[in-house]
Amino acid sequence: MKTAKTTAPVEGRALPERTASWLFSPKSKLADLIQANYKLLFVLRRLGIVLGFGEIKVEEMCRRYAISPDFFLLICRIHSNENPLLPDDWLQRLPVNELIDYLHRSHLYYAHQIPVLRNKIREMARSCEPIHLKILERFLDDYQQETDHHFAYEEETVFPYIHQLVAGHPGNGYNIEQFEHNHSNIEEKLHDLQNIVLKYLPESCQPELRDEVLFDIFLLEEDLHKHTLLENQLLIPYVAQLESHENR
Amino acid sequence: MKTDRSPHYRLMLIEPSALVSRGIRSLLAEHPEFDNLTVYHDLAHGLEQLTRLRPDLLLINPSVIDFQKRLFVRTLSPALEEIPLIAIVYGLMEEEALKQYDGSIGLYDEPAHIVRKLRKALEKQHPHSVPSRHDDLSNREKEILVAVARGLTNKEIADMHHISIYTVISHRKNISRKTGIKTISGLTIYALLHQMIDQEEWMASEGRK
Repeated sequence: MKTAKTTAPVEGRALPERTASWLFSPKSKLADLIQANYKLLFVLRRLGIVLGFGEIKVEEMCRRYAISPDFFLLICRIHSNENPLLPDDWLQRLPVNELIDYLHRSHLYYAHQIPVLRNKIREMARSCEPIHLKILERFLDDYQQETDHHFAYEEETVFPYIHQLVAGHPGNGYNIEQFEHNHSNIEEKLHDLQNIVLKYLPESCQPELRDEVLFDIFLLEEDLHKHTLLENQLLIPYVAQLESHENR
Repeated sequence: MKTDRSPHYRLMLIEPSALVSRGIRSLLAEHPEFDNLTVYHDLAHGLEQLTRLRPDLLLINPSVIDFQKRLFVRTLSPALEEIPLIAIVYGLMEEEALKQYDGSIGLYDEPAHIVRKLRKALEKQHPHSVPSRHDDLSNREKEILVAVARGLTNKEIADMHHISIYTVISHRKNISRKTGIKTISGLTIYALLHQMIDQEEWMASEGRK
């Protein structure tokens, strides 16, 4: 294995059978992870990890920032694979406070990023006709409102409930089943917007800005999708398990 | 990835037996079009890489799939909806499960026969992969799209056009498949951009809000 490189498989040719798990190990170099999937930069930012870390290994970085390496690698795997393979015992080992903190920081990021995207779209639409600007504005207003509402619900209702549950104070009639799965709608609308910008705005739209907007949407779409995965596949099962213990 | 003339396929194999997987590899290596084979010995690792590697064909031993899921092999991953599947069968396997595959190979098959089966599976366009994505909307679909954009419910649309709710739903599915747009706000934009709804009128109604 001494010459094995931790880059993505080239040409799908017989890659070492455990490449994926091998890349995401505590002994890996953090920079290798990012070079294998640059979108992990979003993860670093949310965890407060600052770039310029040289040849640091994952385990050392986790020590420095007081992050559980298991958790960090789990997040990286989920962000890097479409069918992430969760360790069998993740449910027992999940540091739920770290997960909630991560989700919270993701919300802050979206709350910042959606208006940024909105401004870019506005600027792009100015190069089309006024009516296009107006049509898109309306859509973006709705979208902004919907996402604000969605994140506020999680921040104000869901997360405090989980914190209480973890602390051993079962909630007041609330349970995680009520957690609305309205993420999908947030994702759907963004996907619609992507189709509209890609296919249906007129050719007169300023091309460089249009590309830039599309790149932003694609990245945001993917990131939001991972966010949903984290909530649906980690947070909800974890809390459901806590609740079932509570009710015993 | 493709060579100059002959097709060059990317294959993935999920087979627990090292003996069998190495046998298949060396057999296929004699055919340049099939020498690009990635092997996994269990389902989870194979599925994890499936979407990223996007093989042209998946050979899989159905016994690696849980019994309950064996009859729904294409639901294991979104990527499987489109990829041709070949089952590797030795030992008992349910007849019903094998129906979902585009062919199956067994331990005693002639090498030439196996290669033929692979080619055949690759030739067969999977029904899921041929949705006419480039099709324009039909007139009926356009009418329904406008109605949706105006905020009418499926029931109202069905009554208006004297069709069943199921027909409305099926039209809406086709509209979304063709345009890539699902939500009502998205469809409204589509209708406005294509002047299927009067822009001036819409502007005026927006102004009143």
